[in-house]
Amino acid sequence: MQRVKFLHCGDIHLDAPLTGSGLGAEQAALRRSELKETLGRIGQLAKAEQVELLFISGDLWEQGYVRKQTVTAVNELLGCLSPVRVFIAPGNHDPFLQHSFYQTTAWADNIHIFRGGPSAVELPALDTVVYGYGYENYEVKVPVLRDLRAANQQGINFLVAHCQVVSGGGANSNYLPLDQQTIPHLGMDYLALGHVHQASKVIKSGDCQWAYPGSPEPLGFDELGVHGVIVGEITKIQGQAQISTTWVTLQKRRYYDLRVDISGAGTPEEVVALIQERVKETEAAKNRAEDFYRVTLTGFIDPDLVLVEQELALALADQFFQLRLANQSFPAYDLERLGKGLDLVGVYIRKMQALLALEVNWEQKDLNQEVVSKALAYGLDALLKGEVHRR
Amino acid sequence: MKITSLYIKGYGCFTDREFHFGEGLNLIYGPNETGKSTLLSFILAMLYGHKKPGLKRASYLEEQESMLPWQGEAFGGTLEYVVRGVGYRVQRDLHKDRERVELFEAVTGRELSGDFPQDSRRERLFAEAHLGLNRDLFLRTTCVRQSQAGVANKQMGGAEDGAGTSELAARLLNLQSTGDEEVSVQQALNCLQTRLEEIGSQKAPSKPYARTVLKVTEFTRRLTELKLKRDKLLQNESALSLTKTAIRELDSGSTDPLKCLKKLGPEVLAGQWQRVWEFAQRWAKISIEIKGVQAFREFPGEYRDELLQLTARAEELDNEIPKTDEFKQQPKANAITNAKAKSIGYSPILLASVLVCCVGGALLAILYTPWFWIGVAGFGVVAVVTALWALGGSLLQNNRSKELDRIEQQIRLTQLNKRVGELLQVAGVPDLEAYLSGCRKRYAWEELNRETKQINEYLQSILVAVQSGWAERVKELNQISQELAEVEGELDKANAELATLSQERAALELAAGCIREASEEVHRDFAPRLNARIGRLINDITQGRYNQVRVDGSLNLRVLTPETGSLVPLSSLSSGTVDQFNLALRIAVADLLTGGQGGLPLILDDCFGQWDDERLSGILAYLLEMAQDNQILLFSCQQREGNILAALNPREQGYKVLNLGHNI
Repeated sequence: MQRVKFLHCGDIHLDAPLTGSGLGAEQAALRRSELKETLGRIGQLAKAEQVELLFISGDLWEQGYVRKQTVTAVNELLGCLSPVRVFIAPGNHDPFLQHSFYQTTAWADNIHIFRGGPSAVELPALDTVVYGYGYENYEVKVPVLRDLRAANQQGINFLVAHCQVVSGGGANSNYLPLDQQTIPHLGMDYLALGHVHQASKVIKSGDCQWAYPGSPEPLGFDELGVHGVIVGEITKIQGQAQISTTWVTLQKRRYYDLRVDISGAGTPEEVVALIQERVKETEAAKNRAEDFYRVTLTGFIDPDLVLVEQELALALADQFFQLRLANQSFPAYDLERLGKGLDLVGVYIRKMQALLALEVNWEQKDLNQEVVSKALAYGLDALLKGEVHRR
Repeated sequence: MKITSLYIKGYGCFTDREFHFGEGLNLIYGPNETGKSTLLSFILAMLYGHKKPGLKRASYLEEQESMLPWQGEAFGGTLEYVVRGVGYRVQRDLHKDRERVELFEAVTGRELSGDFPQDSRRERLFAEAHLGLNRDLFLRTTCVRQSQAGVANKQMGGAEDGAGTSELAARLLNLQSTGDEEVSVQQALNCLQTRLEEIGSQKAPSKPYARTVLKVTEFTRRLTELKLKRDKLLQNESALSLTKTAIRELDSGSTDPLKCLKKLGPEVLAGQWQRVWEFAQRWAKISIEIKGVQAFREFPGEYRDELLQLTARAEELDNEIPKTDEFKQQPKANAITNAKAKSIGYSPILLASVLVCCVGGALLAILYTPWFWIGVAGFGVVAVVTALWALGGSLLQNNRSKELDRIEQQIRLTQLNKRVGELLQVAGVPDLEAYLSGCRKRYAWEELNRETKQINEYLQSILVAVQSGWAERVKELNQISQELAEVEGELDKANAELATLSQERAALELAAGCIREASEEVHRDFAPRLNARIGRLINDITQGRYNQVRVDGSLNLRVLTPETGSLVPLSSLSSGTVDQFNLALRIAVADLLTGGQGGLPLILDDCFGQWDDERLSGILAYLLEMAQDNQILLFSCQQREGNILAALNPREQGYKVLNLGHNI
């Protein structure tokens, strides 16, 4: 009987520029330092759980931005975990390039970094083989894992890779495609995968189980919900593996995406109050000063109500770690009624509605529904109010 | 549509008041503050309520507050009207908290409210259905206020020439292009253009769009610059990671510094590159030279001095030993020479004898003067005898020793040559010249080797210095990496800002384009009908003198004379004619907008106050004529209208007077 306990994480993206979050320089710097702290918490968890193996399934850092001091800290931190064996499979954001820090750093003895491959590291004491693949470029289109086969079926076999599981033989990916149907044939017991930032369940394909733990610390508004790592244990008796996994949350901050209907609000202050009310209704309210919020204003507002997003955000700024406001409310013109008119307003509304309803190749027209919707509002403001403000 | 009666339960200054209207012209008289505006507002409130039209959500007009009843609780009332021969009664409670509207058929009392479902504002749209106009359009087309009534008045009142007709022309243009005289295509396009100009374009450097484009360009440039710098530093970092190995290899002499330095490159070595490179090249040259003498690195050069001495001595000896022939030819001379040398060099007895004699003589002379001369003689004899004896012995031996010496020298020479031979054999060279050549090569190897070591030591020291100095570059690398992330963040924000502005621009341009298109469409569909109607109106009003009105781009209104085809400015027509035209136009437009349902009332709100009697008389006569088809509600605070109407129609036929009275 063999037994191995492991911790599986990935997609930490140390030193990421955190674009798309709209953070100020100070907040972004703070957030970057928090990403490093997350790795620290992963290390503590690895020790506390007394795992033998720590898998980092790619995108440990961002090659274009990572600082040497960060790499040095990573090396020290992971090095201190010895005798835990650490396996890093570089991904598309931290490929093992000629001049990357993977190449130029003298890594601690307990750290193994996969380069190209797939290759294998045998751990006779654990009767375990860890297979892995490390990107040597920013893309890997060839499904190189397809033909991989674990040599010793009696022992425990892991595969660590930053790859995209695809369905169907014809499915393509620029990130090390792995056809889900081939997974059972790899002869692995557990695939420690990375690349997908939203955590997956632990999925069983044949005798093999695989999972994306997601990013342990979310990096943007497209990474809502809870984030963490996987702690697992494999027991193999006479070639039959039993795997138990636990999902552990380590994140410091969460991202929330709320939609607030501000219909009926007559003043910016009322809009602010509606946002606060809506936030209170959610679980998000508990920790809002620590978390990221994107609030999209919806509904139909008085056409005379001019909302300046920056002013609204400023009024709420101190209540949130970060608040991004997007105004998608629409002036409450009665389009149905006005659109029936024979006058210009009626014709204009009908034309715009036809444009919105049309299946247009928006990209080709350099337009999108949001633009058309805005144009409709601006046109009505111009025709009915004789003034146009930013909406 | 004709309003027959209304009952005001409570509205503004009115409480429990009832009014009945005639089908034609109704003169509603009351001095200021007697409730004329309130009455008009009540009519609108009964028909349309107090909610803003054209909106999806309930938003109240200011009348909801300003028209709250002065007395009592009731806020609302009843209005009865007739449309296409059917009478309707509308009852409305305007209180926000108990808002209610009911519509009944006036004759049967059947409730019709359910026929008109509530809209999103919770408003029943029966008036729109019956009249074909919403509140705004109803107000705009049927209600004429003082400022709008007198087109000719403006001309006659001394205003800028043509200003009145220009306004009328503008309204006509609006009608032709938008179907609504208050909605101006040009104004709409202007305000869209104003907003576009606020955003600006790339050509306007002080405007947000150009500033954001500049920001994006600047951040992109900075980003590229930082990336290049960082890549370079990473390459150097990569090269530097080789220095430890390089130092070790240089120390063992197992690597070519040129190769090592090429990997490091001038970036890493910075200011020392040139010097280091020269040394490395020298090293390369030496490495070739050293190969040539490599074989002699263990050549036994330690015999060099001995060999040189030996060979010098051997040569000397060789020179000293007389050659066999020479010895035979010059024996005597040599013998004498050798004998002299021997006698001088090898007669110590003789010298000692002379010395003893001299010293003895001297002592005797000092100590024993009488015996002086005897002593001198004695010692002199002894000395001479001794000297002669010595000289004689030496001459006897001379010839024999010369031969011995030669043999001895020969032996020594042989020994020397033997030693030389042995040493050369140890060195593995055939002769002294080859030995010396070997020595030179050995020394050259030693010299080159020493120089190589010096260069290696020097290069090592440089590399060690570079390594320790690299800490600064690492700091720079860290800073650049951080700045890169920051600039990336800034660029991201600038790009988002630019995308928003671009989207704004696109939306504004799309709106403007679509308004133009829609305007053309309206103009195409609506303008011909409107123009035909206007043509008929002007034809009727001018009794066939003119039959078309045209508006040019400069808002000049001209009428066409059918006979001559000439265009005459509308302002050249009499002021009365123009006023008639203006009022008639409203009715015509209302008819057009309601799809020819016709019969809309014309509400004139105290609009002839500034008119002189003659002109007022002219328009009232025309209104009486119009009132045969349309109900007219003429509000006035002066009795003048009543008097003129009475003069025009003494039997009070065709019009009705309602006196609101004082202090209502």
